[in-house]
Amino acid sequence: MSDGDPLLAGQVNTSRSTTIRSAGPEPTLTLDNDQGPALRLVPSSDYEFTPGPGTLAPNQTGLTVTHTVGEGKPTATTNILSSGNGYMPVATPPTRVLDTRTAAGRARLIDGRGDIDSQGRAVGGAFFVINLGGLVRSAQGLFATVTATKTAGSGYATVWGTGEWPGTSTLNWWDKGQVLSNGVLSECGWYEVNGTTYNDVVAVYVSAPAGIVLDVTGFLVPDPLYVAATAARSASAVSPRAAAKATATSRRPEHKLVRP
Amino acid sequence: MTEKNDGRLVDVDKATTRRRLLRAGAAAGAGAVAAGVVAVDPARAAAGEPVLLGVENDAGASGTTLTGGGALNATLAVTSKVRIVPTPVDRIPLDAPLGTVVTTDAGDVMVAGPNGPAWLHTSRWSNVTEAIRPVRVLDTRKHQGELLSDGWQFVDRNGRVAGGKTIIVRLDNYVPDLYSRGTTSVYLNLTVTRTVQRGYLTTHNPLRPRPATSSLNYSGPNQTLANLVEVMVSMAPTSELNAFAIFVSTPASVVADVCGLTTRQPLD
Repeated sequence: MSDGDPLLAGQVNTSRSTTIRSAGPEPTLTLDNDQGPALRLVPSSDYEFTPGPGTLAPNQTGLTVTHTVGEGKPTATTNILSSGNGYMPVATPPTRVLDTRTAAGRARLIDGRGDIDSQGRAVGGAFFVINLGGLVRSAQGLFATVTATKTAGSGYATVWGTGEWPGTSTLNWWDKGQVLSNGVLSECGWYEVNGTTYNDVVAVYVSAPAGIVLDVTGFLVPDPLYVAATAARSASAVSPRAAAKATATSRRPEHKLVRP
Repeated sequence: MTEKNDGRLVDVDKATTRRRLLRAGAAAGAGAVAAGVVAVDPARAAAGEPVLLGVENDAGASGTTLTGGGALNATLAVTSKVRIVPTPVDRIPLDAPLGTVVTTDAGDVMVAGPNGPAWLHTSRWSNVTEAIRPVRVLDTRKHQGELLSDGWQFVDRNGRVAGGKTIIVRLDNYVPDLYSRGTTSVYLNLTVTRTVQRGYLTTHNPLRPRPATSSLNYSGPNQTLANLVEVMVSMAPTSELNAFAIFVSTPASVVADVCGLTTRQPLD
């Protein structure tokens, strides 16, 4: 088979670039397969060829498209953003995932229940791990509001999701009897405790005694359907998107949360 | 009229040894591509005739349909890329059939959806938001951080920034790959401490005038307060620096922890 030979349906055809041109309102090429995929772009390691504008090519992060930069200039290639390579903020109904003052507010704690005193305050040096399971899956991060109350003196709290305590603060207070809040953007990670692995967690470290409340308002996810509240009200919740594995946020070793 | 080719699978595998011959034609645009691939047979009017490999096939006003494949075999498999020659924007149909894919010279990709044309997000114009492990990029109490324009001259020995001064905090040595990832803004936890009277902080892009807004307010002496702030940091296109400015209205120590990014470059 060589250039100029007919393209044979159902066969492997090897040639140089083949162009199909048309000028009417109909699509130049229609691919129809009601049993499976209609088009596959087979990855190649050959990058010496500078593609023309409109070229779609697979790469390690998904799919790229080539475009013109300006007249007389070489073409440029950009990534198409997808659920395989990017995250989007998705709001969720505000959900209290931690309130050290109440039993219900402690229900999601998978570590740190012993770091709460009889008044419902976190003790100094408290480390809490909060299970976000049921609210989201494979979240890269979250938006939340963290609140300190019943403060006994100056202190701070840190919200984070991966690795050891990062040496930063999320909320600060400077006196006793204060009630203060701050916005939170934090990674989510995974955590092992008592032989069980929890895939979506976030941690709070508290430097000095205070009641701590964490209200989640949104998540960073590859697809809105990864957020339970979104999936529940979406007609497409039964689609392949909803069942897709979280390739972009698959838990890597560096995403493990570590007790300080 | 649409010509149909029924079959199970069509797999077009370009011969790499010949690919260089196409380079000049492909790089020069649609017309040049057509000219560059006609070594065997110049442009061919082929409506109703076989599609010939390695040449331009001109079907006139007709489309071509391939039907076939299966659950695992795509109707058409191409190694390794497919080019959809850009369509002038004013000729993109607003009522294109579901599944239609169109490209433009600007690199936009349209997919016809159930509610009309939809544009795929690309790293050329869209962005992604990402949480990162928090990084302390400024702590004036410890003279920690990289200040541009000799900004440390405004910080006294108690670690307070003088009132009415603006410091510019460079991020590149604390948060990696900001420039290469096309970072436009960062999220940071901004904290003020060691206050001496009421005041406020304003964060902004250092390339632009200070806005009449505030990012964090404090009401008296000896307070320690924090707020989550998003601020533009891109100094592009003329510089690879990524930095943000903080205006401090009255003397106070300032701490900044970066916890998220808005970038154009997807994750690897």
